[in-house]
Amino acid sequence: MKQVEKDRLVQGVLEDELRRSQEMVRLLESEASDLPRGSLHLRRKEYKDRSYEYHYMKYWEDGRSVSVHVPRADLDRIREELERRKAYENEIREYRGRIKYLERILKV
Amino acid sequence: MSRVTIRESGLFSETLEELLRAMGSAGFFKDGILVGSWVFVLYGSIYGVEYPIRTFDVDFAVPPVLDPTRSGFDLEKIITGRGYLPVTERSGWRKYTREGFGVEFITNRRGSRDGVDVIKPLNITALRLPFLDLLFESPITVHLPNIKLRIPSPESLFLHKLIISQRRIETTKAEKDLEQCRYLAKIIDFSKVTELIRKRQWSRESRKRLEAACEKIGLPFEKVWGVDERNGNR
Repeated sequence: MKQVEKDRLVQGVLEDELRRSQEMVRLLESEASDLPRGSLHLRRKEYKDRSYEYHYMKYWEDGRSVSVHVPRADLDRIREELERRKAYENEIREYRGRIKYLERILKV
Repeated sequence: MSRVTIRESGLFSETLEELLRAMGSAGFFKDGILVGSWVFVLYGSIYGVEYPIRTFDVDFAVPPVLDPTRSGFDLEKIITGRGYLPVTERSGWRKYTREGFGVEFITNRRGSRDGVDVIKPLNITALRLPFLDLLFESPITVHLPNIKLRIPSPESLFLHKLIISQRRIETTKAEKDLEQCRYLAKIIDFSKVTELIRKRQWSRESRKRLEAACEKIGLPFEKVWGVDERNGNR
């Protein structure tokens, strides 16, 4: 196989990977958008010599910080979903890094 | 050759090896096979022919109908349990990814219906692709240290790549298919390819495609197609 053909083949494989990575970012973003965003916090309140604890979720919306109370019954589900969202976001970061690299070497 | 033992270790990344081992232990390779560019890693070890290009994803082929005597298992759980995240395409095809490495399932397309098959006993979905049944003809069982899996025979992969290269819309993928055919041509038994061809009916269109692919890789068509017994012509 001639060098020119080999170069074209390698270029084609890299272009395929660029397309796959872009498509994967789109799919990962779509999955992440179905999951809650933000972070889980615990608040303690003192009232008439008694101490109360409750969880709330904090996230940014339209430039302001929003806090939402999380009922105890939903706590495990919300915690698991927040972790899952974080995993999707890390995966998106992985693909974005690869896209940047591939675009640089393919001069896109 | 239907069974082969490879003593070499470290052919795959640790992550992929762990996944293959888990899938093998669950019994996936009783029906399924490893396909795609990662098969060439094993061909390299078995036949000594190195195909240097690997992709960032691994493909597995599953027959559309599984052995009815087999017991099902949750393959998606096995995959996601190893940190792979599921993503779903609009078509319903579910794929998995971990640290930029993808896992996909494909199956044979019968007739002209594109789409996705739900493989219920394994809780996965597989994209229908034409001529994939060829890959299930005489697959090779490979025994690796701690892993047992199945891969297509080089003859069936050669024939599959040859035919699909001429159906591709994307030219780069077609070129990759033909390049793989060139590598496989060094190790295959052409009489077995002819046997595979004889086993099925080929439309005039498919025959033309095979002929065109052979021409592109500089291979005489008769070497693949054999000689037509009825009139002595190719």
